[in-house]
Amino acid sequence: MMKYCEAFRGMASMLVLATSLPTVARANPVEAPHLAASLVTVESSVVPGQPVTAAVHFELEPEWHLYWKNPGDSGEAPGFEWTLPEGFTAGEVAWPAPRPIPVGPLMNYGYEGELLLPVVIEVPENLPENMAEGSDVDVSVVASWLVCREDCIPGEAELTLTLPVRAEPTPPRKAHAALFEQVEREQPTPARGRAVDDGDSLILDVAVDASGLGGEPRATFFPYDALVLDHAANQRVEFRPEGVSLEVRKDPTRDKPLNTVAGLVVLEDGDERRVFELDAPVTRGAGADDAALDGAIANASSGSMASPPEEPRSVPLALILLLAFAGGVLLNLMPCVFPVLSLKVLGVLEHADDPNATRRDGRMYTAGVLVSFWIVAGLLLALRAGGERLGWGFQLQSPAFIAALAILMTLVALNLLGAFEVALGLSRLGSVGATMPGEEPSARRAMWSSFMTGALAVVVATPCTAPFMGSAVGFALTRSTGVALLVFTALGLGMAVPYLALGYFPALVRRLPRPGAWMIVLRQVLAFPMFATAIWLLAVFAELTSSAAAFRLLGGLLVVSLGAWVYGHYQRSAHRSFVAVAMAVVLVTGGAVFGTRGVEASQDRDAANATVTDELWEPWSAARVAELRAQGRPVLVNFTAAWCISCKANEIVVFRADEVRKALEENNVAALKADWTRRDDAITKELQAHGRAGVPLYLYYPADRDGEPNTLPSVLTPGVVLDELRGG
Amino acid sequence: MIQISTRNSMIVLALAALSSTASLAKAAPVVGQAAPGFTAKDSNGETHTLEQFKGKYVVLEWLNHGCPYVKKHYNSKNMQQLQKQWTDKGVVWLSVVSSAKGRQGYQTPDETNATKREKGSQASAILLDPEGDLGRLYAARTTPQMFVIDPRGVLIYAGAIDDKASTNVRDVPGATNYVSAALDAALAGKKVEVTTTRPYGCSVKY
Repeated sequence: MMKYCEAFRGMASMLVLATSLPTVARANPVEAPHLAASLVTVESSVVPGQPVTAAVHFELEPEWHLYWKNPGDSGEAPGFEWTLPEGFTAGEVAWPAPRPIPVGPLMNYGYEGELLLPVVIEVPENLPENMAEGSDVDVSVVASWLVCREDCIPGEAELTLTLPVRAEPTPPRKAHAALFEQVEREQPTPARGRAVDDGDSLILDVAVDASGLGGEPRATFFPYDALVLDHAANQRVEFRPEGVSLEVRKDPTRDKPLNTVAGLVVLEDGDERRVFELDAPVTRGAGADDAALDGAIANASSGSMASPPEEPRSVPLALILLLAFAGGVLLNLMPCVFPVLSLKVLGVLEHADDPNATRRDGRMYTAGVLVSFWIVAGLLLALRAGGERLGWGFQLQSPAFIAALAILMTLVALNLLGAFEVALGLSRLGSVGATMPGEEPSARRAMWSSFMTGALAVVVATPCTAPFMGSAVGFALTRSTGVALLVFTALGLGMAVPYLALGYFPALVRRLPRPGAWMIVLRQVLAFPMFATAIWLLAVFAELTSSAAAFRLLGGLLVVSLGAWVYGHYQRSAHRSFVAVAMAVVLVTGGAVFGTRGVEASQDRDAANATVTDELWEPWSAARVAELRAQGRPVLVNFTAAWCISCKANEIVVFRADEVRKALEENNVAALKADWTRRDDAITKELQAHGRAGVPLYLYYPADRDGEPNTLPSVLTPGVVLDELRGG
Repeated sequence: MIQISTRNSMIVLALAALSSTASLAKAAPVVGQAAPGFTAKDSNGETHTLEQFKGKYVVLEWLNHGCPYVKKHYNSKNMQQLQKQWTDKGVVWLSVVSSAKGRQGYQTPDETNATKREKGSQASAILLDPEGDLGRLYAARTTPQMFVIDPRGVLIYAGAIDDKASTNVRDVPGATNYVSAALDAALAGKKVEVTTTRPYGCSVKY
């Protein structure tokens, strides 16, 4: 370092620098601080009309590095200025794939150890007269570089190599032959791929061949240009049968949209490296709108100083919130929420004579809905941050969660039928409290109950992605935390608003019948929607696991029910034995454990084709879509899941209809089914790419048009599909 | 109904416990948005905040006199001339040293002042940031890396000092200086053409 500083001070004047170039060493090889550089060639002679592969060979001291053409966060790539005989031309440097070199919180791309930076020199067919056979030609290059460890030292050398001119090729040189071969082997293979701008990150799906590499090869994307990636950010890699998918963080300081992305995808397993080149246009995913939106807001607030975003494709936040609200209202009509509504109607009836109580219940129900929405939103955001590619309804992809919900629903139904009363025990507590003045304890209990009913409504509502909710939740999940919470709040308000209305417009309540014996009948009747829900959950559970596991869960439910009945019997009996309570506890927990035991055993079952039982559909993959489109066929993609009731309805009403089948056949439409019953990262990502966080989603790629597919409505009719196929 | 409540509260609690693991995304300054506010001490022990310079243009220059790229601009007097040219027009020029103690480029306040005199720096102040807080706040990667902030506190330029990423003093005269271009345009009420570039230079020694 000192040596360098002195040298630099000595030539601080530009005049001195311009007239004498004392730092430029003229030799081959050149020893410079921390490296040795030399000019080498593959060929041992120059033959007219035949290219010469030359390279600058660097040998670095340990820990010191040189830079790739995109040096990363700092540094500079080596530069070359060639001096060649007349008619000779030097091509571009064939940069070998770099390695990531972390420097504190920053990241550089470069080389350590020994490397070749090759260039192909074209030799003309007709050499000038002074270069006849037997004469010598000089090939010369001024190489300049920055060599760094912690500190950086610039260097420069003029390297010259003399080659004889020959009429016929002479045997190639042996020096550096292995290194040349390696460079040749690691030249990039162009790879098909696509890039989706997901707001903060880019998702790169690249068709690479990883076969023969070990189980866990490393994969890294190196962009050719600066201001594309946050170089130091961790790259999330996932291998697929058709290639590799990388999620890379965009350079957060970039202030313009990214339209194309080019760079190297390097697979590495031990010493073996495979290098692919990706050069793809960037399509906008769900989150990209957010970036554009943020940009638009920022520009609006900062006046004309900053350049406007080139592609303002923002969805107004107000519209999204309105859609979320409407989606929330619709959620009330969803079959999986309906049973909880039954509970809520009961709750309203309890207080029909007390407007304050109904109002308070409405507010508490709203609070319960909102808090649970926030918690679920927080969880989703946390999981998103934690790297889990999840979507709305993900709970219903977990067999354990479904089993627990089925048990819960069965217990609720038994409770409604009067098999046991949990409230009994608590109301005895209440009667203890009743000796105290006022009725506050029971009021508080009622409020808590309303709150929890609201919360329960949310938990069971999650699988029912109502038509509007798909895009709203998709939007929310790709946004900043604040916006996401706003969207979830709108959803929750929408869901709770009918009950708030019931509380504040007592006229509605007065239309409800007076309480009486019929309420017990109603309560018992409402047990059946609960059982129906449990059956539906069991069907989903069977889909996710196996029929054996489902039967096991049924057995568990029987034991749990027996436990509930024993508990109810104990409540009604005159002498209260703790043996009965203990028995009930043992039966309920034992039944629950037994019933969910089958989950683990059946979890590895391959679900890839589990629900593709219809000959119309073939399994979806991004690669298959690309392939079919390349063949010129129109493609219909059906994103579905066993637990998605809207999907099932569409399948029965639309895709099983003869007219639709016929039209699909006549138009030679390839129908692909993406089954999201179980977690599937490829499908989750594809949903996100289209701004959705849940199913259903229907995409139609017409044969005669490239680019983005048409999105069909979530509620399909045969007419909608037929119009779409006709090009309407 | 209460039975539902207790069951459900367990689910809710589990969800709440999981949601607490949420992390905050790393922010980075983006041109067109408000520049991150900061408070930092200079080599004379004086405290400066970005807020106090509201109404003035502010230039931030990441500095490490051991870096050849920085030397290019100081040995050619390019940086000093820029500093003089713009501070004469009322621009606040803050050099920032983010080298950690024990790493290259770190200087005590006294050493910083000695170097400032020796180099003839015309910066309004040299901020000392050995903890790297200011550097990380601005996601500063290199020395010299430049930021230009307008009188409203909006970042109008971020990136390299000019378009010649080299350590060669000969490249200074022909280079397009992005900082001057941004300030010229902004002072004339025009749009800044080049707003973000790849900062070149040595890595900041955090």
